[in-house]
Amino acid sequence: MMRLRVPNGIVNSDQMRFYADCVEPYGDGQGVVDITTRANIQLRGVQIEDAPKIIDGLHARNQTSFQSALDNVRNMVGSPLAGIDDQELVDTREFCNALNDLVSLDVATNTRGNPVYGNLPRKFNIAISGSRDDFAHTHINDIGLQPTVHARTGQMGFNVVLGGYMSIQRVAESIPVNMWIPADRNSVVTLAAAILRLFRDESDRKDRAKARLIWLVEKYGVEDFKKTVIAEIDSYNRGVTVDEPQPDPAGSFVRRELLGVHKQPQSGKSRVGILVPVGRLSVAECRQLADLADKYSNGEIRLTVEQNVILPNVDVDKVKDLLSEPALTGDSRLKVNAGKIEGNVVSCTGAEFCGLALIETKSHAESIAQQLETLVNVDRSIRIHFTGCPNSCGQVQVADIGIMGGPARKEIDGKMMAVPGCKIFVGGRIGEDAHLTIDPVKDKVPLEDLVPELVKILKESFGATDR
Amino acid sequence: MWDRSAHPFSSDVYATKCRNDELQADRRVPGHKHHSHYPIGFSLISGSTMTIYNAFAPSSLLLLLAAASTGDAFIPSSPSFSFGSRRRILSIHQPAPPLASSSSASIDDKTTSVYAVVDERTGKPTGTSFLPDATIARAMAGSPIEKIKMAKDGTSAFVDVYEYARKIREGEMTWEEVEKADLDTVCAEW
Repeated sequence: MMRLRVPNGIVNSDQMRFYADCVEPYGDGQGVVDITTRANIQLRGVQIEDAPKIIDGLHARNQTSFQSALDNVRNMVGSPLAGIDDQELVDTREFCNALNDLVSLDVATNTRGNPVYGNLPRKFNIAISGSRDDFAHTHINDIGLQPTVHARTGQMGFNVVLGGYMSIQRVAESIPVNMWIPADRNSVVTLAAAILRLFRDESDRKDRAKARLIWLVEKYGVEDFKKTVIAEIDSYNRGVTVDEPQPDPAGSFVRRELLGVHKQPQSGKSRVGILVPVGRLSVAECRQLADLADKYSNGEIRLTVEQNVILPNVDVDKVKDLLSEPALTGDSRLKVNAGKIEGNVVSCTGAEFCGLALIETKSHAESIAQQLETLVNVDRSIRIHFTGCPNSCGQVQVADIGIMGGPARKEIDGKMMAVPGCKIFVGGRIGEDAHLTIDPVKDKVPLEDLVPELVKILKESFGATDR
Repeated sequence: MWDRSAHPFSSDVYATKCRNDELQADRRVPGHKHHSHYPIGFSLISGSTMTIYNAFAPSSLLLLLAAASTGDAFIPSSPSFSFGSRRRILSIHQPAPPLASSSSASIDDKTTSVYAVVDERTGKPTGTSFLPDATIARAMAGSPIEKIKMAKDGTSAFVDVYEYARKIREGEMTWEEVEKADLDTVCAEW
């Protein structure tokens, strides 16, 4: 597998076709392209002898796979509606790209692969929210930037939250660290550099379970860590000032949908969100998306953390044509008007390709979602996340219903046998009222018995009715 | 003291951190064979010869013994997998700081001796070269993955990938051999 860096989840049609070309030699089973929960791309089936050609092709297309894994700063997540959002507070594209350059661009040689951050103690995640929806999920990232206006000056900026992460040993939601910075490139990059320097040099190097940022913040205490970060920022002499936290945006707000057709603030333009079930794209589907992007969105494709895509800037008078395209109709997996359950399923890689997973996830997730659509009606989007193991790459703790691979036993031919199973989490929330569910409501559920359990939960907890 | 005003934005980031003028002059000479230096530690050449460049403090002896006991911490190049110089040559330029306790180093233990070292295969400093002495000491006494990262820097992983790819295409090795040699050491995951 080759993981890329796709700041703010924006790719173009040329890149999408290149992804297809890269994995096509490996056949339908192995050669696939996955959209991840960090709005990133993973190329599967890649063989080592082909890696240089792929790396060179990525660099020629202004992309890279360097520093995308292990103890590195991972993909920069921003708003998938950056620049096309009528309720936008901050366009996150500039910041995601600037931070991507900070961590992965070697300024001395102007090549990808930055040794300054080449030996971190652990992985590091940064998310920048562009609106009150918090499509970037700042609450589960090491650095989260939440847009809010300075109460006195009216300047747009970010409240800073730190330390969110999920692991086998611990699931932590980000905590406010009482800092606000202006929403300008210099401030964002300087803040990140300061925190990364402290993280790089001071976090634990002995116990990897305690090496994430939150542990360092807790070691200092919030106020002392804040002082240390500010002192670090001041030492750079970049003219960056950190202020006290500012009030969050007030008034009611309803988190918006990304799938479907929605007007943009640009006159005559719409954004069209397309379901990519469990983020899995075949070679053919990659090329179909590239063709659609060229035809309707000037070649641009936006990835989302829900593992779907958005075609931005579609002419309003061409939306109908787009919705009639064969790639989005008939038996195609790709859909614009997906159901409220199938349109909100997220899945980690699972046992198909990941050695850590206890269960196969993607095929189960896609199949179960389709079954649920035929069984119940729901009046709102229900987010069901699947993850293969407690590392929770599928982020089950933020889901309405989370399915985590786990042990289970079932009587088969009079004997209790180990079967693929799961734990079920209920009640995670995202957006302004984010909340992580830490404990499952049920465990040891055999996967083949999951659908009736989910129907029951949907009815009891989410008001579903029989279809 | 590390000049933070020049980090991490300035293109002079390596120059300001380079303590040894000779190293600074040499690293830009094409074809110059330059061995990576670490601010603390000792020298291993092909896993068989130990050369101590400078007098070392008692704490350095602890490092010496610690590294020797781990064995794996400094993996010499196997003759089968020698892609250019993968030797790690460490020299003591000053007495090493005391080994940190098991808890993270305090703010007072921050860097005083970070300087640029250049991996001759990539032409770039290594990721380790930006770590302060205290952090390096903790990493060397740290988790197995930290020891692996100290032994082989992730910043050179892609040089290896190109070499591995060539050797596989030419039939000189198989992917299973690559896995044993490198992928399991996590560096290729970088």
